[in-house]
Amino acid sequence: MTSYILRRILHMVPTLVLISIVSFVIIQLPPGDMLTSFMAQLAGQGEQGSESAVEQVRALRERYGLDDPVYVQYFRWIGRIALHGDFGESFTYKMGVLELLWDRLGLTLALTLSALVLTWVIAVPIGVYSATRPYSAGDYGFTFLGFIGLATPSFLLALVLMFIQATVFEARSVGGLLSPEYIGAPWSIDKAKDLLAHIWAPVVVIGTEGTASVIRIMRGNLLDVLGQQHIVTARAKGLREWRVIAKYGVRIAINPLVSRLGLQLPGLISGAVVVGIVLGLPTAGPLFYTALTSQDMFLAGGFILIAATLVLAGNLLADIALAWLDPRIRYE
Amino acid sequence: MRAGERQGAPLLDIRDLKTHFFTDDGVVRAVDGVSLSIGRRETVGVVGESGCGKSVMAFSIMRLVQSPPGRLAGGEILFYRNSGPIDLARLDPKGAEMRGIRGNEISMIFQEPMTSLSPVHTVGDQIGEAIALHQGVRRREARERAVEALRRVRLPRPERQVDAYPHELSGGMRQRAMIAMSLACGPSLLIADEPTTALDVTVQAQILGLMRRLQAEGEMSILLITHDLGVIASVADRVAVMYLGKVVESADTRTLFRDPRHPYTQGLLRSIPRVGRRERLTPIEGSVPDPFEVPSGCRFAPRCPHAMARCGEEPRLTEVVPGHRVSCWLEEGRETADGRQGGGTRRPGAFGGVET
Amino acid sequence: MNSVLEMTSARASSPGGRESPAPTGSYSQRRLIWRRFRKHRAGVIGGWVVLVLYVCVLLGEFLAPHAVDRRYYEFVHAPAQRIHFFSNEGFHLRPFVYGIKGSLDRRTGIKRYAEDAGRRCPITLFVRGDAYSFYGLFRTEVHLFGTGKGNPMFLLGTDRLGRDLLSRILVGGRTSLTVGFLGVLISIALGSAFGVISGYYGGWVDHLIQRWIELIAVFPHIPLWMALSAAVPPEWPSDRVFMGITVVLSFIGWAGLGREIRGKTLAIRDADFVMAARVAGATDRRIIFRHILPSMFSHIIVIATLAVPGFILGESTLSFLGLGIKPPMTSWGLLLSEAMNIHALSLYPWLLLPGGCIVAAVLAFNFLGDGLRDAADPYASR
Repeated sequence: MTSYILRRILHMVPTLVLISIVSFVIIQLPPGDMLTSFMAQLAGQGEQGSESAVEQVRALRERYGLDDPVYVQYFRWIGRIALHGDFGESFTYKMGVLELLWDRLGLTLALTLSALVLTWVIAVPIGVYSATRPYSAGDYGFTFLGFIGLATPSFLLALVLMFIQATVFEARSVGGLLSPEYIGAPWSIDKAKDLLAHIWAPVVVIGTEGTASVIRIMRGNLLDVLGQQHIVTARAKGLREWRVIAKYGVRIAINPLVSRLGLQLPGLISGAVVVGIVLGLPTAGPLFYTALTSQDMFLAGGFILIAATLVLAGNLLADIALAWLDPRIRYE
Repeated sequence: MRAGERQGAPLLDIRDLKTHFFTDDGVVRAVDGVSLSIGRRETVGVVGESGCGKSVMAFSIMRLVQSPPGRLAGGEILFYRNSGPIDLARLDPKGAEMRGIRGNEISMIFQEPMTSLSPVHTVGDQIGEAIALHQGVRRREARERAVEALRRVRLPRPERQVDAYPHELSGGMRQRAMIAMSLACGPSLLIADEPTTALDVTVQAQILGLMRRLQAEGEMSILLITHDLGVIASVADRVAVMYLGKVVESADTRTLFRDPRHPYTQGLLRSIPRVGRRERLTPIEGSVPDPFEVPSGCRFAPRCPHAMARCGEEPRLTEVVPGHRVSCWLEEGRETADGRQGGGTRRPGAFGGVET
Repeated sequence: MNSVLEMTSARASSPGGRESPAPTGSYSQRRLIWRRFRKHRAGVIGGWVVLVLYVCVLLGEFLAPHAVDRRYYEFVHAPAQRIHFFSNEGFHLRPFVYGIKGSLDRRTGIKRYAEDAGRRCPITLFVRGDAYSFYGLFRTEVHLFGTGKGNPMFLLGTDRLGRDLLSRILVGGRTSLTVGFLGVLISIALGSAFGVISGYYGGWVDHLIQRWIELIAVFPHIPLWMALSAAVPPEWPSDRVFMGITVVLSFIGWAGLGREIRGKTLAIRDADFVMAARVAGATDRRIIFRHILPSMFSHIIVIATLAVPGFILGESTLSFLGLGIKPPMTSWGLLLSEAMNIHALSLYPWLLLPGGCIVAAVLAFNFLGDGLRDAADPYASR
């Protein structure tokens, strides 16, 4: 088992390198660079020709090394990250990138993980139910809901939930993490309740797509497994039906799902980004959006790099979980 | 070898069993009036082509028929336990009583050991589960008994193999493990559904030998289901031949091979190649009909070389010689107590001598 | 009485007697797939919806009662009008809408609208309305239905500039659905090329392409799209931006398709007929183009159909965030960006209607794809 884990980690290293290269390239793609919007600002003020402006721009260019060849810039960037954990400074916010992202990433991760847990807690039982009572009314109902869940883009779902909160629940404060009166206030039961009232919408939006697809896959897998011979053997031993389904059915049907856990992560992070922007949450999403529109290279690049690395780490954990569950995998 | 009569009371007595499948495309009468009995310490073979209902009959005994669409539509399955007979057909298939019998007093092994064992649980876990369930012992004790069970089936290094996964064992070893699992609780009846079909010939012989030995040790009866007449010949005491859901002939093994009376049995025996003989094989005419369109009257009539007008009516299973039952109009008028033969043509058996 | 033998052999010779008599002659692969598809109700419904959607949006300006950018300043944020057949004068064969009167609620500052029972505007066919150019081929003023020039008819309401939502949904739908169509074409081209090469040749080429596909899969899609579309120069005109967005989506979308096509190629590569072709001396190129690709054709269609929803969802998300389609072109996602403001949303919920179109289109494609997949490969385990 340990050798399997080590092999997997070794496998990750070249991918990490490639991720960093791709992240860097992506950020360099937009025409112009970090200073373009600054210079546009100056132009707007009619100052672009003046000596102080030119001097400012030149100094900034030197400071950020923007005139160096591309690969030099890359190595400087990745070198600082790998050796010092220094993700650079955000041009827009005049703060360290890591500092900016840290808290917001924490919230993003919290939302993402909650959505993941919720997804599995809801979807697996429903999937099992659908597979053990196929073609029943409940099965069709859940299948239909699942289809709708998969067909609705996350931003639209966020909008619809906002609408429901405003009209059906008549919430006074929609969007954001807390109502205005609780921001900065000390923790209390009321504040916690307020938090819950705000947070259910983002978690539902992030989790919906995953839930729908997990239900579908679980149902399909379990139906397949329940048709297999060893289920008959288990019944022939005199086991109770639910035990047969749980121990021999679900246990095996869940393996492909665990292996796909890794694949779910990018989707969850995507959803978190969109939801953060639509609902105005203090997560990494809105920050990333601003970074892109103002070509804040360090911030945008740092975010993409971190996001991809998180997905990679999640994949590793999922692979380990799968190997633990299914002994056949360990020998690959 | 015993001649026709069975000693003592039967262990399992199936009377007129009917198992039907109700599908959207029609009703399939997979088992349609089968009567069979299995005595104590006896090996009864059931032979027939694919689709004749032998597996369904086995599943019916175990009450494992998928319902819907299948259902036990009639008949009795009398199981004679120490406490007296019980009709398995009347029990709730999911109920505690039937579950207490399954895996415990009546066990079943299947054709493909690779797919019949769960790939993600160890062999010991799967065997121990049956033991813990029926004998009410704790895990450690169950594990010990599992090792014992593996030892009894002559699996090498059972203490090691008990923690192995099925994919780590060879085909023959897996089948032994499955046998160990089914015998762990000491059943009085073992149902073996094509146990050797998926195995090499040499392994086949080993497994059959193992089953015979365990039967003697455990005082167990075996219901052996197969399409392979060679297996029947080597292991079974009595044989029943099934065709399209009905038993067409039953006798003790020797008699069946020496003196087959039903044209289907004769056809089966004729279609086996024999070492030394260089004649052409003669298959049975036609093919098994669509299970939704079973012919009325004698089901074999469309393919029978001796079909007569009488065959439009379904013949009954009659005892032509004590212990030898045939369902054919050719044997009409032969039911005599002392086995004298009546009218009608009779063809000699396919095998002149006795096979071992 | 016939001999039993004849009776039973007659019955035995028609094993398919239960079904309706099948016509003689053999079926081509395509007809078999078509027959199986027809039995899949959801797939057929999906197919019809897709067809109707594409016809509607391709006829865009003709079907739309108004020009896509025609503003009615006096009817900003008007709700949907109801079509009537009855007035106080009785039944009219020709449906009509009432004129609307707007009044400003002084307390809240919100404009309210009420039907003006005095003004009856019948809906006629082939009416002359706002001028438009039909795909640049000719200019005309004919719309399929409407109430005539200057007479407003807002069957789905208006937006914040007083533009008819129905017209904008129709024209915007053309953009959304075309991105889907074109994007899938490009992705299929790329995905097939890489997938087949990867699956057929194996070795280091396969390894390389696989790694590349895995790499793309590691990045969360939406941030990646966002970053790439930020690379589209802001000064580009609307239609160039449209192509740019399509290309961006395809460049990431092909990865998933490529992986699936590679899988299918691997399965076919070892099939007997490929072996036979190789033994007969066929070159690799011939095998790929004449044997492997044609036998995968139905699968490629299925994969393509099931990929369209991803493009529709991607484009709408990007446009919603302002990183996608730019005015004057419009798309469903862009239309929805007006609903981002919670006050507008709760007061004028019809702004969410383009969202319903997105969901309908995605569902339709998913059902259609499922039906096609079951028809093409009924024994596939998912």
